[in-house]
Amino acid sequence: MEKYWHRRSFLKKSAAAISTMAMGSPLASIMASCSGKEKRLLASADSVILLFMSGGMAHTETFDPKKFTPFTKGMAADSVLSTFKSVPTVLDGVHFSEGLEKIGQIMDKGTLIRSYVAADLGHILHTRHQYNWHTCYEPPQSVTVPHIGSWISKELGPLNSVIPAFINIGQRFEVGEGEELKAFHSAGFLGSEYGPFFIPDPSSGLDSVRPPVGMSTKRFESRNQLYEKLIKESAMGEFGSDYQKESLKRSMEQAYILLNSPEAKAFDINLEPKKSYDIYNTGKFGLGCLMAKRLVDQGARFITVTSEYEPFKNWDTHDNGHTRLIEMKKLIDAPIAQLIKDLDQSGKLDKTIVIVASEFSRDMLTEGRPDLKVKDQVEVPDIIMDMKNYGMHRHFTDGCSMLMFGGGIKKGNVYGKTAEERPCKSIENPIKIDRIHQTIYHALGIDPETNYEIEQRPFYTTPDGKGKAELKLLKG
Amino acid sequence: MQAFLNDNRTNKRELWVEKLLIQNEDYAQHWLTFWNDALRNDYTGTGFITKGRFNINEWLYNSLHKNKPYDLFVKELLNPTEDSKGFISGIQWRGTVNASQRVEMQAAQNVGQVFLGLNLKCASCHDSFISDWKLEDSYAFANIFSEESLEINRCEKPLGKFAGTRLLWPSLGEIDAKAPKTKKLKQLAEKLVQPANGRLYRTIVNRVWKQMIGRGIIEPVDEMDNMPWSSDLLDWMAVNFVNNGYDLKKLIFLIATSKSYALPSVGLETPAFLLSEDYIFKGLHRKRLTAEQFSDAVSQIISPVFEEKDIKFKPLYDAGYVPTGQVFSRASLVANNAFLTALGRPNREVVSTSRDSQASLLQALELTNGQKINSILLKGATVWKSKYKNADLIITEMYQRAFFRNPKPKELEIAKDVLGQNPPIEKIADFFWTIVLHPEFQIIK
Repeated sequence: MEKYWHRRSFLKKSAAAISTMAMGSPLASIMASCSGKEKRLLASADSVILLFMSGGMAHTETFDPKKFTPFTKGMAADSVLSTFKSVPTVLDGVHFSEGLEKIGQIMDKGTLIRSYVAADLGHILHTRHQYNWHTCYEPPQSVTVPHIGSWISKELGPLNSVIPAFINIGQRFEVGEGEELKAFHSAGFLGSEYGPFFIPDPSSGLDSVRPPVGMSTKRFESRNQLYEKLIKESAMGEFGSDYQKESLKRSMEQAYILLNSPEAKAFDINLEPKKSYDIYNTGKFGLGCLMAKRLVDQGARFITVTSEYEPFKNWDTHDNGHTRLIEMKKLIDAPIAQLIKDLDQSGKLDKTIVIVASEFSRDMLTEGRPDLKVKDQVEVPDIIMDMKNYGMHRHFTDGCSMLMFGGGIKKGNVYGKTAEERPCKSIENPIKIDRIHQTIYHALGIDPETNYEIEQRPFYTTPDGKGKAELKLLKG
Repeated sequence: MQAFLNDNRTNKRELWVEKLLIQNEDYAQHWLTFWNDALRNDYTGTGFITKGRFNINEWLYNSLHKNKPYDLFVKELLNPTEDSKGFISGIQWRGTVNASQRVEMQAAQNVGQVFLGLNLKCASCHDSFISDWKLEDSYAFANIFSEESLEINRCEKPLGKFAGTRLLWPSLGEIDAKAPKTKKLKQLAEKLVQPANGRLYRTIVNRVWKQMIGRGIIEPVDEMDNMPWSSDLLDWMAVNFVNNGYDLKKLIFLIATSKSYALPSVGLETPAFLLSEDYIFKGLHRKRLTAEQFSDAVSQIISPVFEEKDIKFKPLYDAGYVPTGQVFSRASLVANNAFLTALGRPNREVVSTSRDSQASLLQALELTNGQKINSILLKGATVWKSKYKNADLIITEMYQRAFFRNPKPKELEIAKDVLGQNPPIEKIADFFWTIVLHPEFQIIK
């Protein structure tokens, strides 16, 4: 029983409320919603691929380079704006940092955002900002809050009923701050039915969607046959509709279909032609992009591929920022560019939004944002003598770069601007997470005031339902 | 179970319930799951970065084991010792936190929700739109948990005002605003548990009723301002509970031996009916096994799901108990893991007072191709293979253990058809799988 809620009329209606549900309680069907599927707005996109650069990707070292200051012993720290040269992109006057040439060549297919501003959450902790990015809410919250992928999965369901609607590739939870990561990798009060399907390592992605290890297809099928026959025979099978029984039956059927379906092959990246595989194979992240491509081809709804958050690893550069970023760019440049090209070629890009984002940026000196600095976490010498101090080692929230492609996103577009001089902060069109989320929802045709009643309060996709889509990111 | 059915004594239900309730370890380990969810205990998450959260496992286990009177139980959580301080301590995140989520406010919200069945979360930010609670009420209540009076914030804007220090209902008495925190907590504990505070006792009686019957007399159970379907029943049970010395086991006994509990169970087409205003009580509602119940049931009839090394917390041994007749590790004692999460154990970051009993694709996948379940079934099958001579015995024994009945001729025939007279281990494991995923096993009637 879905109900249509409008914010203004909300208080007048009496609703079926849900009590505090355990995380992972799919009671969604009894939650009052303002999002009947028939209310879906005109959509320009069907699927989303979120490529997340966990750990804080410095804008000045990637998609928004500033004056290059090569390393010299004894250089002043405050003289360093970028540690890489700039290279031209396919867009006139738009430069990227060296090492991202391939992505530079596909920018005619999407929008470059240079003015993302992360939230002010005080003393900086990556997982808190990641929580904020993925849920649009600031932790802690008094209820468990859904990931954007769960909202989308709840509102739109799977695109192909066989493929789980929300797939999460590349994050392990044993690598540090695991519980903090789990806090937002969740469907929260929407119920686990809308939670992420985890593929921690794309190389063994198939294991998650095939019959149990050591079990032949024949045996798998015969086991399932036996199951169905025995259920039919028992008195339980004759009972009228019993929602637990129905949901169990339905879920078991879905699982069986997925594990036995040709579409499940999409999870097997080893089936990809070698030439294509090799382009993507820059490591785990690149292979994740390959899997995302294969899954979108088969009708996945929401996929996120992360470069993986592991404290002080990957983009989380507390030292050796320059050296590390050479490697990080190698990891992402080819696969991201290839993903866009492949989707474009197959025609899927028209209906698939691809986002490249990070929880915040980095700077050599500023921790937090220039007018609201927070406690430093990395010691930065005024005079740099050692290569290990050369790089962006502090957490910067006031100017981050983001890329968006496809699914109705404007092409060849640059949105926002940061200052050329330190602090290289957003000076044009600052944009925050609620607008980003609403822009994605808008493209997907999800009502901006989508909300569910939880503990007798309306809980919106973006706080208080106030976020507005940024139409300048979208084609008219 | 068979023994119960064969028992011909007229008061057998009473006798058997009593027999079950005096098994203190089993009782504690069963209710541990419920209380861990409600007290958001046995949690390994965020708060531990800043030491904001403390487990109360030891205290909780002992309290359940000893069947601590509920008034004392609540008192010890509100005015805690070192062992029970975890409930009112909140998550202290690094960095700035919205005013409505500071630890004192978390304490006020959690105490309100769990013990009093009321929602202060709205009123922590602004006057509630859905109830009569005002912003000032929340702050005044939160001040009890604070050394210093908290400045009122409305929707994150400090107002330069202070709310005083008081209980949510003035009739329960006063709190000495100038007293140090420890003294305020002591007063809070004393005043909340007094018999005059019927709200506390109606709330717990309603929760236990829900756990056993499947639907509270008031729903949602965290919204005790809603109308009960029978206020006479609720009030009578609450008074009875107080008169019986706040004894939870006596309350459970009362419900378990009631005519209501003995009615045939009722299946529902949709869970929405449970919350609808037209709800009429007709009997017990069917439930699906929880993650813990499912694991324990598989452990008991097939092969242990968890081993001793999985037990995070060993109250039995710590307290010097000798486990009685128990050969597997109960899931309630095991730290959360991917298997239990998939089956619906919450992460316990926030209070959670009910679990849902619908299945989901992710659960089904875990149970269909998950390594954990398949390896356990195989292990069990190996043992059974050596223990039982032929398929007939295996099938019949399994139906009796899992469904408390013999297989019907047709069922026996179908299963035998697949197993063959001398079944290989894999086939036995596959048969087990069909049993543990069978609705008859998964749903408590």
